[in-house]
Amino acid sequence: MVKSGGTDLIVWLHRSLVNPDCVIDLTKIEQLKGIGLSNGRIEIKALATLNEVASNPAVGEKLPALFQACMAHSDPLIRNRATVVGNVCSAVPSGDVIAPLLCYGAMVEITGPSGDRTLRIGDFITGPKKTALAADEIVTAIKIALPEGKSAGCYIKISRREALDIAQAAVCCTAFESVTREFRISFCAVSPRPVRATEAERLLNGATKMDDGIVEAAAKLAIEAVDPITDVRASREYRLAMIEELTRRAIKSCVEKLEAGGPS
Amino acid sequence: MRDRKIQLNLNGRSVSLVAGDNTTLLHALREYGLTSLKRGCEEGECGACTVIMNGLPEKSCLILVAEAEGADILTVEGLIKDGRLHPIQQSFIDEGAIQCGYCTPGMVMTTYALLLKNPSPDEEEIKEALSGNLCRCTGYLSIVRAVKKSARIMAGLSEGSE
Repeated sequence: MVKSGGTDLIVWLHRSLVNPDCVIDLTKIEQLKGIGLSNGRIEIKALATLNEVASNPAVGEKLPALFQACMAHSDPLIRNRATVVGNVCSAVPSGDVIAPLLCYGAMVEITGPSGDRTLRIGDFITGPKKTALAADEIVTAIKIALPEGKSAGCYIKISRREALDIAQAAVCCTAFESVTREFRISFCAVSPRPVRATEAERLLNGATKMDDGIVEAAAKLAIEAVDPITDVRASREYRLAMIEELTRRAIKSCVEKLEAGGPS
Repeated sequence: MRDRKIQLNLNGRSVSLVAGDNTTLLHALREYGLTSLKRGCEEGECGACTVIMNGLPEKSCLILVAEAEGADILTVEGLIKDGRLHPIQQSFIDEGAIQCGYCTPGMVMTTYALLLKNPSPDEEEIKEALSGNLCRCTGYLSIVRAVKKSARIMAGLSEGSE
C-alpha cells in the first residue's frame, strides 16, 4: 500500500483493517511536496497537508469552500500531517475535501508504469473507499482552475463536535459569475460516491430572480440527489432533513457574498 | 518486519533508535525511555502522545518512526532546563489544570507550539489550538487559564532577557 500522511492508513493498520505485505511511504519525495500556482491553475501536490492548503493565499481568496472544508477536517494537529490528496485517495464518503473539489472541477493527476493520466475527481472515486487508481499507480497532484471573475463558495458541516469529528452531513455550494451565474452543489457523508445536485443547480442557474421560493425549491431538489445510510453517527432521515436545511443555508450564503460585491 | 536504525534530533541531542518498520514514533520514543508521551487511543483522537516535530505539533501515534529520520523532535523532557520546570508546566500546576495528568504532556506540547507561533493568543485561539487534545477531567477551563498564564510569564521572560 502507498502512504502519504498516513493518518488513515496507520489507524487501519492499528485496527488490523488492512494487512499489506509492504507500505511504500511517499513522504520523503521532494517532488511531491508543496502547492504550485501557474496559468490560473493551482496544483495541490500529493504531500501538501490540509494546513498547508488552508494557509495558501490563493485557496483562501479563490477557493473558500475548499478552505472551509480543510479547516472542518479533524483537528489542528492532524491537519499538520493529513494530506488533501491522501483524503481523496482514501475515498471515504465522509471525506470533507471531496465535496468542494467536485464543485471546483478538480482534476486528479495519476502516474504509473504505463504513463500519466488525468481523471475528473467524480470519475476517480468509484465507491466507498474505492478509486480508479491501479495497484501500480499513484496520484501526484490535484489541479484546479482558479475561478475567474466574481465567485463565492462555502462548506457547511454538521457533526456532534466541532473538532475531531466526522460529518453527519455537509453541503458545499459554489457560485461563479460571468455572463450568467453558475451554481454547483455537492455533499459529504450522504452518498456512496461524490454527487452533485444537478436538478437543484439547473433550477438555480435558470432563475431570473433569486427569491426564497427558488431557494426552497432547490433545497427540496437537493434531497433527490443523495442517498444516505443510517449509521452510528446519524439516521438516514436526519441526514435528509439536514441536507435540505444546509443546502438552503449554503445557497443563501453564496448569494449574499456575490451580492455583497468584492473583486470581480 | 525488519529493524531499522533511525537517527533523529531528540530534545536537542542527536540520538539513534533501533525499531521495527511498523513501529510508531510514540512506541519508539517510549521504548527509548521518554515516558512523558502517553499512549491513549493510538488512533489520533486523544492527543496524549503529542510531540513537536520540525516545529509543528503532531500526534506521534500517527507517525511511523522511519518518517522521523533526521527530524527535530521535542517532548516534555526537553522543556525542563537544569531541573527547573518550564513556565508552561508550572502554570498547569498553579492553575490546577492537571487532575489525572494523562492528557497533560500533550496539552503542554500543543501549548508550547501555539505560543511559539502566537505569543499572546486570545481565548478562541487557545480553544482552537487545543481542540485536538482531549481532557476528561478538568472541563478545560483551568487549562485555558494555564495557557493564558504561560503566555504572560513567557512574554515577561522574553522582555526581561532583552
